[in-house]
Amino acid sequence: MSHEISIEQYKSQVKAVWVATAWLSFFTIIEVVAALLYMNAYPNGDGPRMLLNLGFILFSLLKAGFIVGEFMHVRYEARALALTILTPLLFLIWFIIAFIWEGTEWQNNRNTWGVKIEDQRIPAKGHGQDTHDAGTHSAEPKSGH
Amino acid sequence: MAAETTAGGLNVGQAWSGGKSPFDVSYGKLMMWYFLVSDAFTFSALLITYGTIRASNPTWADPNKVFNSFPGLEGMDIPLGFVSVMTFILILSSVFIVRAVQEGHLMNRVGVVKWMLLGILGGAAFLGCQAWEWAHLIHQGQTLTANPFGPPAFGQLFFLITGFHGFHVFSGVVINCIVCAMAATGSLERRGHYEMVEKVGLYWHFVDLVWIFVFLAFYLL
Repeated sequence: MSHEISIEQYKSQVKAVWVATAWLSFFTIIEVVAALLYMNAYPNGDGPRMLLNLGFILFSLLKAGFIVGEFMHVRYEARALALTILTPLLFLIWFIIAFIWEGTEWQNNRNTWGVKIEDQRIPAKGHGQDTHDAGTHSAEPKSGH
Repeated sequence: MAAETTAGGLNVGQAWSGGKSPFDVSYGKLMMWYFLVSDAFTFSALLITYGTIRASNPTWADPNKVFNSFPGLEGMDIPLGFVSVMTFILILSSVFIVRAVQEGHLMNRVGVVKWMLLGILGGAAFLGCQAWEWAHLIHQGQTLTANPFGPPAFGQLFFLITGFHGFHVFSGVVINCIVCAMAATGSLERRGHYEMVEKVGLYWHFVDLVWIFVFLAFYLL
């Protein structure tokens, strides 16, 4: 669709894009600096991460907002179009919660039924051995070491 | 996200009474959007798989120790240095394509071609960086079966997800080249609009968007 635009509109749009670029760079720099500061404070990576991770996620979502809103032009589209694109993504909320939950439970099973961490680090020898994962063990507790 | 009233279509009765697209957008752009929504779910599934497998492992690789090399500066410890450069390259490449779209609105053929060439250059540079990073990690012993930094699953997911993203970048570069050639030969000008640039631009920004979350999952969290 070719929209005839005036030179003033063009100039303001170009400016908006460079402003968004500056924000994207700014957020990325903040993220990297935060990661480096954390690494300096806790060289073994054993410090509290909750706040740091929340910050990373927040800044990444802000960056995503600039890309989708400004670069992909969603801010300027009809509301119906923005909704038809963005609302399906709400499914991701439960997708993320459910699967991280599942993964954590999986680790609990491993810890409970004694599947050794070291087993993970040995390069695979054969397929038969690999398929004996936490699921098999939890169904058969006697095989725990 | 707040929609702007200037876009029209806010008056539901008018927008949906027929005779024109209620989304106020062409068929091609709408379909590109729906493709991107489905692709977003593909990438989400991959990244959530990463999160699930990571949560299921008692130990995991420390990104600051895995990604600390920089080409030309062997032996130095520069955590997150190279990947930051890669991120900036991809963001800038995305910006160049936005500029091409804007020049297209002015029907400025030379401007479109110039900015698209810069965007293609950025995409190719990103792919080169990724090739170096992969080669370096493989050289250090991170393969699909073994990993000196942690569980092998880390390397497997790294190669799977950055590989899938890299393949998107590669296809984006190819499609950008085709559209750039169409712009350069004047074939888009004869159509009377540069909407092809907008469509491939949407795809290209999406690739940048995915990288934000790959960067988050693998390098930051």
